[in-house]
Amino acid sequence: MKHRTIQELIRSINHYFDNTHHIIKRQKSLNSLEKSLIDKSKIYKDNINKIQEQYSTKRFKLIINHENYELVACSVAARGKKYSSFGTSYRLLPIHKYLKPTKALLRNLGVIGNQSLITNTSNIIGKCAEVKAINNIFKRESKLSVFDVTFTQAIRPRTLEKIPRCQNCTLIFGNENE
Amino acid sequence: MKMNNSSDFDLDLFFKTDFLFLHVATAGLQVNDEIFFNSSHNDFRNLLKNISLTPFQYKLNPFLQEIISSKRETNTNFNFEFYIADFIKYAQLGLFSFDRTFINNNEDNNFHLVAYPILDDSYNMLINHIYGINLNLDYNQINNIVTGFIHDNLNRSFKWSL
Repeated sequence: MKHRTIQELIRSINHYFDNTHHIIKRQKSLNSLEKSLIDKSKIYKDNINKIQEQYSTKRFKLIINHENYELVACSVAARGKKYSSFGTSYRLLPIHKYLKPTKALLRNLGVIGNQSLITNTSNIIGKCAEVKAINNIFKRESKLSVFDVTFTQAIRPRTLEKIPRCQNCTLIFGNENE
Repeated sequence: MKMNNSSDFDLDLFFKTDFLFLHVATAGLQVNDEIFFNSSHNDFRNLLKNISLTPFQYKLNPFLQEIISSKRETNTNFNFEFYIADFIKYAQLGLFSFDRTFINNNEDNNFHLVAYPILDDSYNMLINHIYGINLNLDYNQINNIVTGFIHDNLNRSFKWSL
């Protein structure tokens, strides 16, 4: 497979899940959003498998960052008043990509890119899938209160099992069981 | 400077013993730089996925249901078939496939065996493909040893520093 084809495949995978985050305008029920998340995660996993079958550093001189073709550990969907969005655990965003309301929320935990001194989790502030999802919603609904946003359960794309909300997210978004 | 953001990912890692191969799913574990920046894991996965061998028969860890009972407790919609699918795939390729047990904590390094292959003569071809050597082992005996080992040593999750 040629380098160009690999790059195109990677671009399409990222476009599908990690970059575009597919904001959905019409309001969906949380159940239907959860179903979309599962469907998207399955397609995403298939795409990642495809590139893993095709790309090896031994066969190609071009070294692509391997983080581009590894499965993400966590994905989630969030619903605002009008818009819904998806987010994954894939990388910290560049600092300017966090919108003001997101930054305000994250300040409760500490500095973006660092571990929180308030909670006991080693998760990096700003990296959680929930944060990416709500940040995308804020792009369209900047006046939204955090109380107007609900999340699906976070899932692990490999197995589709639920991942319990971390301490950082519980502190800023509340307990997921309430 | 490269950043080790391994906790973003559910990596497939591969390890070799003398002639057995292990697959490990990291499920967001923060692994060390030596592992994370080593492309051999991906290269090995690529090699495996491109070998055309008859899939091995496999078995699930007989203690699996007990080991993952906490997943069922926290997840009422837990789908066992989805859960085991990837691990079975690696067992069918001839690998002992492990998962991280407590995925809500990215520093917890407890792992458990999910699925493993029943080795047969086609394993010689796998070894030949990877090492370029010819083996002729008694796989019935090896399978018996493996089963005993699993019963005695892999009946619960165990710590594994990665």
